[in-house]
Amino acid sequence: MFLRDSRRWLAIVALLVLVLSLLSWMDVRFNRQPLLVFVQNGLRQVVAPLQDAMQRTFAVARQGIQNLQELGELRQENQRLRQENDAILEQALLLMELRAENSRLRELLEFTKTNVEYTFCPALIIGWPLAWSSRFILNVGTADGVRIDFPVRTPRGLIGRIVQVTSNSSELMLLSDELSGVGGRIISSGALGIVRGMGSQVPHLEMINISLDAHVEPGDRVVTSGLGGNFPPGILIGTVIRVVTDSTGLHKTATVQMTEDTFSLYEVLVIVSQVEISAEEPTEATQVEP
Amino acid sequence: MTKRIFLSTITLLIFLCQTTVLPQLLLYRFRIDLLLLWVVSYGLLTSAAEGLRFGLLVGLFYDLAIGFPFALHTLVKGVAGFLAGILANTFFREQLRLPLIIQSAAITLQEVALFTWHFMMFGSHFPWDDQVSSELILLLLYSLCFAALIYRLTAHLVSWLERTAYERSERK
Repeated sequence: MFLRDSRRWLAIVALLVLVLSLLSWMDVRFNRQPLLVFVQNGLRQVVAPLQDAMQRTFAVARQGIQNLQELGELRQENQRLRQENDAILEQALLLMELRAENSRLRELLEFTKTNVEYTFCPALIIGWPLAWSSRFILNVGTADGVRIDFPVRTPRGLIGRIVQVTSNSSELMLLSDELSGVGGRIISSGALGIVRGMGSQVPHLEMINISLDAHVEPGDRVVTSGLGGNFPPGILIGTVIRVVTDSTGLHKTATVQMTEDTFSLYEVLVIVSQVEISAEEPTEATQVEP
Repeated sequence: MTKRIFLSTITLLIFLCQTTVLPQLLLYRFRIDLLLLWVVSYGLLTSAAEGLRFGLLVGLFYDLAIGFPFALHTLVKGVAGFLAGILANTFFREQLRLPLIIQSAAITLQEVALFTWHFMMFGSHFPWDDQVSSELILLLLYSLCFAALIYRLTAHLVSWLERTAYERSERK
């Protein structure tokens, strides 16, 4: 059919090309005709909302696809961030621990610097043999100069004494142990007594055999008396929180709050010797057995 | 009537896809003319007269909707539909190679026509150089990705329209 009418068709097409080319040329060279603008505007007013709807639909679909694509990445990122978070938390905990340790060690160092009358052997608690135990294992032993009955303290006060020792470790018996006993003196009145432990589960000590005439009241501070020879005098033990007359009616008994919370101990100082300080030369020191 | 409604609706959908969705999906700055592929496919599957008429209408719609200058796309699409229609009934519809070649030729024709027109109108602002040539090759490659799809869809649609028209005539 086409071949039959080819001349006619070619003529039509050629005419169309000519006319349309002319129209196109006129559209550029001359101002756009108002009628054409009117028709174009009319069509665009119809088409524009459709384009807008299509665009919005596509945007929603695209966002949905993107969300789905990102889901896997987000999961991986979440996993990675969790791991990072765990690592950071671990580091933060380590940092807090190190800071606390640093603080304690600084305190110990400061204490040893300001208490030159004693020679200290710093020790780390490396073992808690039993729950609620009042016996700790320290990382120092005879090789460090530690002997049985050496007193152990912290910057805040006395906490116990060494009861067993090996070449590289020692056992610390806290003041709270039932077998512990230390000569005590109330600073304000000078009254003497024996401070003994009441068991690891009781957070207080008991000062017995205080003279009935002695003036003792809550808030008084108790220090070592030095009697008995095991503990040097003047080391703070604790504070009186209650005073009662014992069952015999012959003595007073005081309940003493220890200066140190023994459950949070990490580092302690073993007093390995006491130094005699010369009045003329305070820095010159000699060591004596405690 | 059914045929016209279907063709108009599909033309509108293709136009909407071409002007809204496709630009966001494609890389670089290529603007694939789906309407041209649609016109060429339709021409290939019908006849020269049908291709010319359809191309002119689609081109006119495009010109009125967003075309500038007016009548340029009417001209190009009309001629493309006509030329494609000349080859109608000279190959099996299931074949894909010839339609793709014709569509590539139509794209090239359109690009050359647009370039020539711009060059004639604006002079040296649009020199044809290696960059333009390489861009044309890339545009062809991009367009061919859609050409096969458009042709297949058009083939199905034309077959369905022919079947419907035949059934109606049989009923009468």
